[in-house]
Amino acid sequence: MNVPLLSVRDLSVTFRVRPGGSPPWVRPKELHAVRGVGFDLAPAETLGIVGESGSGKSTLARSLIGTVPATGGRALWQGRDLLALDPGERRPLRRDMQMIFQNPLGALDPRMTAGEIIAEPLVTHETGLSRHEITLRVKSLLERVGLLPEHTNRYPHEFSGGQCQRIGIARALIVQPKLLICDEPVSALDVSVQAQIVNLLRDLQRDFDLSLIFISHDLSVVKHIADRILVFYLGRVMEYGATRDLVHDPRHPYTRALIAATPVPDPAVERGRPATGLEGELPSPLSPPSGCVFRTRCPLARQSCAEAVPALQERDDGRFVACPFG
Amino acid sequence: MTLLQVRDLNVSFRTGDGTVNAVNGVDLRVAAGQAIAVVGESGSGKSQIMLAIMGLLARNAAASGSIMFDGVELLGLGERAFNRIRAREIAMIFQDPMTALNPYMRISHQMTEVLTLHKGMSRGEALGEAVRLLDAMEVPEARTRITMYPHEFSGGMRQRVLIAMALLCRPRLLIADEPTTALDATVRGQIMRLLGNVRSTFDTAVILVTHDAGIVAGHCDEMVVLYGGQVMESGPVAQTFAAPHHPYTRGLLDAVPRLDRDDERLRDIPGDPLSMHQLPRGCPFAERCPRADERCHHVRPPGVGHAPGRWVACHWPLGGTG
Repeated sequence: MNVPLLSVRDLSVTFRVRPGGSPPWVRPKELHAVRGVGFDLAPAETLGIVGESGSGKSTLARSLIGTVPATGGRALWQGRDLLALDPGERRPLRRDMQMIFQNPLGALDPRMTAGEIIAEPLVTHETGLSRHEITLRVKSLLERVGLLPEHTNRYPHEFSGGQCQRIGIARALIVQPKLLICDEPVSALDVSVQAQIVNLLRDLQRDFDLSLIFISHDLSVVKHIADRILVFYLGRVMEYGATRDLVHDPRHPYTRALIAATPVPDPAVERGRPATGLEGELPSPLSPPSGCVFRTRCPLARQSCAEAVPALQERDDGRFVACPFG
Repeated sequence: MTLLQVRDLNVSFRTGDGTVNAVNGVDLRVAAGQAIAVVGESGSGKSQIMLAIMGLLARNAAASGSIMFDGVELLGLGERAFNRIRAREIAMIFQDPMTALNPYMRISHQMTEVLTLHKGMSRGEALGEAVRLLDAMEVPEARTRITMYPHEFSGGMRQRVLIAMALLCRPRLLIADEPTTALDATVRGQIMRLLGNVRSTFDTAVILVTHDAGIVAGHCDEMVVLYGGQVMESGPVAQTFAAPHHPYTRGLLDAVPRLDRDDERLRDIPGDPLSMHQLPRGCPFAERCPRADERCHHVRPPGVGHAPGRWVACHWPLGGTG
């Protein structure tokens, strides 16, 4: 792999929270939302991050973009540690890292037109552009994301969910970022529109040599866009490897469970599949299990799993698995 | 035996922006003990059909047509008569298991209320029955947990409570409106397995409203595909998946991302879902349909029976007589 664009090492995010209903003098507890996460992201590469709700995948994205402070580790952006920068030093780098969100309508200011929304980052990051230049760039990007020139003067509520997500993508791309972080960008959309947006992101990624971090709870969506996938559970990485290896030959018992839990839209296949669902539910992140966080639901769990956190170990095929038995 | 027969159901809403036609001439049939899937994207009218069956349409709604449940016409039925049917004969569970429970009431209170009201049981009898059903839904330590409040349960557990609550009066029809959409993948499987058990142990017919083709494939006998408040296609699940007749069904099934396939690009359906404010004269799907011609834009295709049990509303159906 060539020099990574982003190199994350041992990243942790800890929140201090008071358990619900407890009085104000109770000492807040530490909630480890993200613990010891590491990965490399090459230019023009797509990293998929998969995990269930509460697994910490959005917190990870937010800590990279700087809206949630990381409490440990490093995130090297072309050699500079993002986490050590003060806000002033960070600001010029923000332009290189843009983000799109889950609720496409909620992410747009209802009182601004689509054109104003898309142009706004230019006003912040590229002062000195003439109005004409701005209009031209907005128009060309509108077209590139599959909207029409006459959409410029419409307001967010006049668009469908899919169109709103296209506006969000145009707004993120107008400053020509190097990295686009997509936090559940299609989970609020209908299946037919979801496919449109995933295809659009793939095309844009190729055309602009973008790096993508694509976060989703749905492994089957991530599989269609990611080069490599990082599987998250309760703030920790369970498995990390090339998409093909991970989907066709999962090693970690959690990855296996996730694949088994994803239904196949084919009655002939689906009815023949053994019911291998996981029992139980995600434990509370406020009191995670000792040792391996997955052990309470793991079919392979044994005594030693409760004693020490299994290391994320590299296998022959270059993937990393946090389970000595998988 | 036909348990529920919906004929030519129309639901429209009067709003400040004009009339919204949410459901337009829908036919639906559910046999006793059967599981049917009602499949559609947002705005397809699937939830409004269910609310019409439950007699829970919003106040500005107007419904016409016929909804026969076991020989009784539900459309236009008075509130008191409906209250004898709801919960006792037809029960419903919803997508969001948090908002469907009263946050101020203990689970025990919410569950026993149903039984004391509908079945005239004593509190003690009702509590025993409620615990039995929570056990059946595999809620651990049901006897202790029943005294808790909804916020003390996780999303998956709340959905179990809701299913148990819906089954308290042993209804003959259970309507499940996107019951697993708000749940995580590994919990979704557990809930679908429980819903499958409901059918076999309680002999309850199930209408599963969903947008998820994977769930339909694994859990239903028959399916009805909706678009723009109209039925596009209906038929047995196996045959419909193997060879859909309607281009919309084909598009919908092709658009689903699959773990077991390696094609890189997803096959999307171009265009956007229909706005309910301007219902087209012709086929609602015409604007996004690869097979549409002039006629599709102007003439609404009549529903035609195909092979036994199959039905399609399309001028240019796939793999068949047009």
